[in-house]
Amino acid sequence: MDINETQLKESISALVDGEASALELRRVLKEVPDNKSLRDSWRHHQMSSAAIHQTFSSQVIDFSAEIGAAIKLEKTYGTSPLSDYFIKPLGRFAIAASVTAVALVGLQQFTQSTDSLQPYAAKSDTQLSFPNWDIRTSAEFGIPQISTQAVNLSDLPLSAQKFTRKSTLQNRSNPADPTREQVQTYLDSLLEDYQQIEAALAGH
Amino acid sequence: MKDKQEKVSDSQLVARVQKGDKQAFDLLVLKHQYKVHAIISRYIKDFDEVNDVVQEAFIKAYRALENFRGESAFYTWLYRIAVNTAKNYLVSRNRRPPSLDIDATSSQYSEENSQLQDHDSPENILYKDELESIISNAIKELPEDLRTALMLREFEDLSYEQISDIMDCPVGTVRSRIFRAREALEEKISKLEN
Repeated sequence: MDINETQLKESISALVDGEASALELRRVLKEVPDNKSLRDSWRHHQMSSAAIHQTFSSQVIDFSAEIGAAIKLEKTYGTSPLSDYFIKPLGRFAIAASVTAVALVGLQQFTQSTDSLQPYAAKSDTQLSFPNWDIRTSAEFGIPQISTQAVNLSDLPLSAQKFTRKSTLQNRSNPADPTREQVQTYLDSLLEDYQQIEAALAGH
Repeated sequence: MKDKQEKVSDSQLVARVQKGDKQAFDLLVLKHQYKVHAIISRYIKDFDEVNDVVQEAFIKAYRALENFRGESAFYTWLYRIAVNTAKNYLVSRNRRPPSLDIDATSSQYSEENSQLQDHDSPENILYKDELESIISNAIKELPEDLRTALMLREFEDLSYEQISDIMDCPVGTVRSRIFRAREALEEKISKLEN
């Protein structure tokens, strides 16, 4: 008996006691079909254990060959040909197709929504023209009815001129297509400028 | 006591079968075929019929193994299949199955039910006695360390680790001692079979 055979038989003994590792079990199961000696060892260990406990059945016919032949005709658990070769790949394809379809529909809707907003965007441009913002902003924030035209900038201190120029520059940065954030920023800057100018005038 | 480790061994094999390894079922057949034969022979007297029903019971067990979840021990589950197969066989032959059953744990050796007696031939009984005698003598002849390891395993149902603690040696040594003890017993069985 070579070393490999001895190791396998030791694994068989450990398997009898439920002490074999998963790797050992796989090795044993791989070798068992072609190794009568291993099968006999397994069977003899069961016999000796039963004899030790005096629970041995006197019937010693070995049915394993006939049962094994019958089991070969039965289905194998854990693997389904239909699942492995048809359904699983089909499932993967279906998932990939669904993801692609969702991406395409999403892209299409995004494009459509952008296009459909164009008229409104243009309309907004008309409504939210800068002169109107000035008027609205002043009214909304309770700012006195003043405008840059009512202030003689040359009379302002340099600090006040700087804030005014900054606001004007921002206004001109993108006057045709303002976003909500830009409008808010502009309003904030106007308010800040106004406060700065007021403070500067008071100090002057 | 011994059931615990047998359950581990069986559950390992059952798991392999459920993963598609039919060879694992072969080991389960080799392990349990004598017990199944014994229980079925308590219901059916004809020797050839018993052999057929034993095979049918194992095939049914294989087919049902997909649904075995391990709530009970494999042998208990197999026992129920064997008993039902034997009863169904008798019904299909217009014969009345015994009205009383025996439980799985005492299935092979119960003498309580006169309807479920063994029908062993004198040759079979002689073989059984001879085997038990040979094994008993072989154990007595074992070196003490091998005998102790085997006895702690077989009678006390201790794990290799527990035995290693008691015998104050590595687990690998326990494993090796039990294996060598079994080899010695196997040699005697082989001689008897030949």
